Amino acid sequence: MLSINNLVCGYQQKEIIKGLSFTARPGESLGIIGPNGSGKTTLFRAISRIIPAWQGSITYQEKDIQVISHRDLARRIAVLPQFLNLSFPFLVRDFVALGRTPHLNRLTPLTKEDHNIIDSSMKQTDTFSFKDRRITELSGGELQRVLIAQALSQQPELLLLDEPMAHLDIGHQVEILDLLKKFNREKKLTLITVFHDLNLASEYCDRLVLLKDGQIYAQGTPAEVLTYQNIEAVYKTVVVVKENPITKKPHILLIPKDKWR
Amino acid sequence: MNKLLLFFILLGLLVLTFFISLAIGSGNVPWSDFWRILFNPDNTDPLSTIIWQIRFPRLIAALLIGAGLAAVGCAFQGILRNPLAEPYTLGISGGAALGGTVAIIFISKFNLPGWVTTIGLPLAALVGALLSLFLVYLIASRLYFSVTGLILGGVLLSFIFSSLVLLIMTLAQPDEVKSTLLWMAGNLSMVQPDLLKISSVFIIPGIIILFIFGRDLDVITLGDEKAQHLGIKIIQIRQFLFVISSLIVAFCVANAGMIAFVGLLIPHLMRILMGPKHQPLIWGSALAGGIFLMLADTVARTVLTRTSFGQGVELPVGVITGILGGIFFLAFLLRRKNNVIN
Amino acid sequence: MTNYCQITPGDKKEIIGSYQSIDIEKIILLKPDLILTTKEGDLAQLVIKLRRLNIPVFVFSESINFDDLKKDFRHLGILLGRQNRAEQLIKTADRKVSDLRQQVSALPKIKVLVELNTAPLIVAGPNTFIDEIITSAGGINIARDTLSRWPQYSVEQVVLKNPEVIMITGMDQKTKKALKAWEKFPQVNAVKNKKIHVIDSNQICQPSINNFLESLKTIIKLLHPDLKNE
Repeated sequence: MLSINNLVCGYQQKEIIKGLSFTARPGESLGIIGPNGSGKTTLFRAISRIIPAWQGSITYQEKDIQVISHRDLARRIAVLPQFLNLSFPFLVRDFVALGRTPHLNRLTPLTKEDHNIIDSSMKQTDTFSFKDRRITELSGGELQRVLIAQALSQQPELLLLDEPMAHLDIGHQVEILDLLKKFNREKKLTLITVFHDLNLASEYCDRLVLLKDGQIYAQGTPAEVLTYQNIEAVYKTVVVVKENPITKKPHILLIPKDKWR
Repeated sequence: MNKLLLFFILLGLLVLTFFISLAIGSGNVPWSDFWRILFNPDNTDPLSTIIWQIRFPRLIAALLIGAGLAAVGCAFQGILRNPLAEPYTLGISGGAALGGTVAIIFISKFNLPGWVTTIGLPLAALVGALLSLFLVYLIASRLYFSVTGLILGGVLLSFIFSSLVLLIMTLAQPDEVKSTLLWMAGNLSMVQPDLLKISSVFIIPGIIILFIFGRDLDVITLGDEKAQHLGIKIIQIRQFLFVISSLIVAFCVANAGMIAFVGLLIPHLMRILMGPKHQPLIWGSALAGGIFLMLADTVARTVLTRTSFGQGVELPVGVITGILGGIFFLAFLLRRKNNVIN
Repeated sequence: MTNYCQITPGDKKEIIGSYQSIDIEKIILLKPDLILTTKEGDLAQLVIKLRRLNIPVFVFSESINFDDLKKDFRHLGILLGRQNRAEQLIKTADRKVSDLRQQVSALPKIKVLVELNTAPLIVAGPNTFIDEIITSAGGINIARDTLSRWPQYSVEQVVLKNPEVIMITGMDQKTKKALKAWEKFPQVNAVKNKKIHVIDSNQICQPSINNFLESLKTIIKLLHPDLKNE
């Protein structure tokens, strides 16, 4: 579906992504992990065409994304960035409707079909009940669900999420991730998610890509990637990897430095 | 509030304001005469001249300029994601005024054909507006388009421009100083029909273009990256909208000098009434801006003139918008400090 | 001299600044015996400084009528030790002005507007040198009941008060524009009868007894073209 081939890119003079390749398969949930500064967000920006590839290429369904128009790309790939400007007090309904932008011309009003898509996106994310509130008045969990509703109304085939759980408590984290997993299973929506929390990545992803200094250190199933050797090498910290007794997925336990042996 | 209902209310208010302003002025026109003249313009009747040759073009100018400035205010606030952005606070009006001052002072020194003067003023204002836009953009981009960066840059530019205007004034003749000052303060006295006609060709389509790009503006408020994720070519569209906005500002300034606060006050009031969606907001602000400036100019041309000591004396309309706008805005800031402003 | 002054070509006088800002160091270097200045232009601080430096300064009163001008001229005569010559000139000018006033006194008063700028419209108001000349020349300044000496004037009032003569001060491009602006109002008598005149602002805006006399002559000629010249 999306394949990245020997990608090199960065900002101004500084090379951040130093040649990496991987593929996201249709319908899978792919997680990207790595320490701060390893190039997770930069990779995302390259995939969503915010910054150009210096070398290598990114292809979406066999087509280089550089030759796909911004609008076409936006109809296929939706992105939830880490930071969003939300100082304008849009109504939740209007805000979710902005997700229809790549499907609309400037002056054509929303059709019945558009409204149906918007309403169902809100219902699926459980945001329909507060559709007439302003986005500036929402709590963190509510807001995150509204953002997902907006992305869903974009009707993408691929959804990129940059740490969608940042600043949420664990209850909300699980709620949001379960929701995303539901879309992934039921609608075959392909997900690529940047995770900070390795345990969440482990629980919710089919495959993981572990980045180190702009290159891939390891990729594969969570069990393949999340070994204590890999983590110690990439994160420069000592951990113990156990198995979650219910899900059988690897679970990482932190060891404070004074207990290192 | 229902937008269609609001549209008709605004339209009704606009028509009402227009007729009331047409009927009021320093010269007393009795209502009976007013209705007669309204339907039978008579060139030999001085009252008819007052209504059709003096008040009418002036109201059209107020309507056009008020609408233009308010629409541009909306667009700037959206593009820059900054509720304090406005042609005046960004220094764009100041740049246009500097260009205009240069034109007024220097064009009169040369014996040029009339059309050069007509074109020269807006052209110089446009050059000034674009120059300051470019500089604000440059300053702001160095400061990552932060709220403080933009407004600080705009205010500093305004200071520089007004100092340059003062410099030109020091070299000018005393009578030029007063007339230039009164022009700069925002003035609709003696609207020049030729200039107004040219301006309308730019201002009206300009507002329509801003309206058409309303959805883009909505998306742009979410941030550059999110806008691109939604398929908007942010850089090209932002530059395009900036140029369109500057064009509108330049023609407004060329006609009437610097009229403060319309672009700040009106979009804010309308955002409270209509919400932040730009397509309705831009037409709503354009209508409300037109109404506001017509009213303000009616106050400016009548407030002193009916008094015994100030017969026939007019004020620059910028004085009225500055005072009213400033007070309203202050009240607004203090009342809703946590909402729109942040 | 300032750069606002009328300068005769070949004149070797030094320019010491503009109307608004005066170069005080240049003044001191020129070691003047006497400095003449007016109240207009707000030079009070400069005058205080110069007096502190023991440079004699004479400030003309805000000359808005002929009597003030005579008074100033008499003072100037005393200061320069030419008292007799001054008195003589005053007497001649006085007689001529009285004659002219006499001549027009019986004629019907003519409504006049003196325009200094078009957009915005700025006119000569009450208590101005121009107003005094207009009145002396048998005219009525239609803007004389305003509070400001140089008001921004309502165009509606011009149409209603219907001046018979409009005078535009200034030169070049600006007056052309001003003339064109009035074309829109053909029912104003001055426009209808083509009685819009451009007058030299140097003469009418710089008060002195001689300028007063000359301006008066010019204005009378414009207001009463049928009147036989003396």
